[in-house]
Amino acid sequence: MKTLKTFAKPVSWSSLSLIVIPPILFYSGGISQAVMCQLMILGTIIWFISAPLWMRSE
Amino acid sequence: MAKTQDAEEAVSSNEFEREPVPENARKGPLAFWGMYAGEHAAGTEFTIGPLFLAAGASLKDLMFGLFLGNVLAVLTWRYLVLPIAMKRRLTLYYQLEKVAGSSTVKIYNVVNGVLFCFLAGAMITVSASAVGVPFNVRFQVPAELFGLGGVSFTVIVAVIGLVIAAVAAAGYDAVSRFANIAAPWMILVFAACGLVSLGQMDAHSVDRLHAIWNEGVAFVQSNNGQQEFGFWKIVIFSWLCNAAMHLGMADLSIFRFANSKSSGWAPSVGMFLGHYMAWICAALMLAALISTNPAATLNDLGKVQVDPGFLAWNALGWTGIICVVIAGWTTANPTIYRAGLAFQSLLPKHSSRMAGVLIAGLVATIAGAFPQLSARLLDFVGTYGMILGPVGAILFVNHYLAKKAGFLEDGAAVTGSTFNFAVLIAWLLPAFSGLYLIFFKGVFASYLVIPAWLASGLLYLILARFMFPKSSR
Repeated sequence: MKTLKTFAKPVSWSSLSLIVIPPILFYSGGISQAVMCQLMILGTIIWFISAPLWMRSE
Repeated sequence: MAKTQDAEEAVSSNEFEREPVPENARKGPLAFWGMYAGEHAAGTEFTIGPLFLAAGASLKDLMFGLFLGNVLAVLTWRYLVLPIAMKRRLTLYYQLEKVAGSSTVKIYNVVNGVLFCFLAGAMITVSASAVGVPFNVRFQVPAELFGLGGVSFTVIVAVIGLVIAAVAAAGYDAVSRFANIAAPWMILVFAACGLVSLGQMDAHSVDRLHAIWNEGVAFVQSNNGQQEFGFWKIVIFSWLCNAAMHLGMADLSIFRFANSKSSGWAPSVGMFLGHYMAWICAALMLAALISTNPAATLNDLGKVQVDPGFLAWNALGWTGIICVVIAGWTTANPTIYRAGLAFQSLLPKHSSRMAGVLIAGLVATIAGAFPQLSARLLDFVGTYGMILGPVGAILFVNHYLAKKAGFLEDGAAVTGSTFNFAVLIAWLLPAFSGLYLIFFKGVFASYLVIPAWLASGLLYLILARFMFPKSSR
């Protein structure tokens, strides 16, 4: 469980990059809106699975 | 807007409800900065932001007006609320009880509770607007004030409202923890809404953005009629939208735990993340939809309406939908819970907290079924502040002027009264006068917050000298 929590924190903070970077890429014309939405929902799912594992204990 | 007194639990527990917070229980500035950071990115932001554009605000007025208004709000918290909070270390309710008596506080609680129910109702509508999108059930604002939004939408509102009420009645701790988890993600999603909207509009220069925004305002005006929402209106609204918390002194309950004056600057993070960044980003979503698919912004009556769920779906797809649902829910849930506590004080003594919360949930759900409430959120927020703000003036006068003016400080506590008619008159007379001006004369509600506050303070100053002279001790 402790190992899980150790990994959960960096994983969840990293998942927020999928909330930040895809919109930047979309704005700059690097990816389509459809791809952006898919990446963001992936980041959202990872965040809500991983964040409760360590945020509850802090 | 703030997620009500849920914030207090974020800073500390519910201890010391009837005594000053002792030194060893006080908190450093970081506790308050963290709390306010997550408190003002809420469901209301998805509605209020676009309503500025829909009301005819220019982008320049919005950016500068919100900046000034939020600075004024922060200064009000810092210099009006914090000094009293740090001096007395009491909750708003206990402080008010000492001045006004326990029976008067019950009236305040009920009024606060009813207003909470309407606020929660608007948030239920916001969540419902998002839930309806995958089912192709659009949020429709009828022309009539008490018109419903269509059978399917009303059913969605009812289901969401009852679920939220049931969860609140069971104890909202789980939702509160969930809200804390969602906060960092939600703030970033708000920012993403704005950036994606700029991308959708192909707004790669300030001039182009201004041009698109102005076209959006012109589109709204051509469909909805001429409206104005100028710079000073924006300043007043953004300054006073949380009037119940600062001018109304509700955040005494938060800042009583402060061990440093710098804690009083903490609301700035909430104001500039929520009432600046989130509002502008949400407004950009409407601008983008008008720019790319104007027909989608029109309701069945041919009017432009703010549909938070659809706006978020148009920008971010499922992430946007989830964000609107969570934002609405995590705002509504503690609001219903607190309203329930207020109503419980009116029920027979053996009544459970659950009964009060379920009643509040029912009232909120019924309110949420009327889309005009959400559509008129700018007016409602101002009315809310105008009604509750004056109570803070009474506490201000009691704290600073009682001795100088020759009346008893904390009069009800000193005389053992449960009713303080000076408080009731000083509070309700300006409040009812303000309500008359709002509903019968069409005055913008936020304009009346300061006058009501000043009138209330002056009235209490005069009345307390007659009703609680120092000689009556």
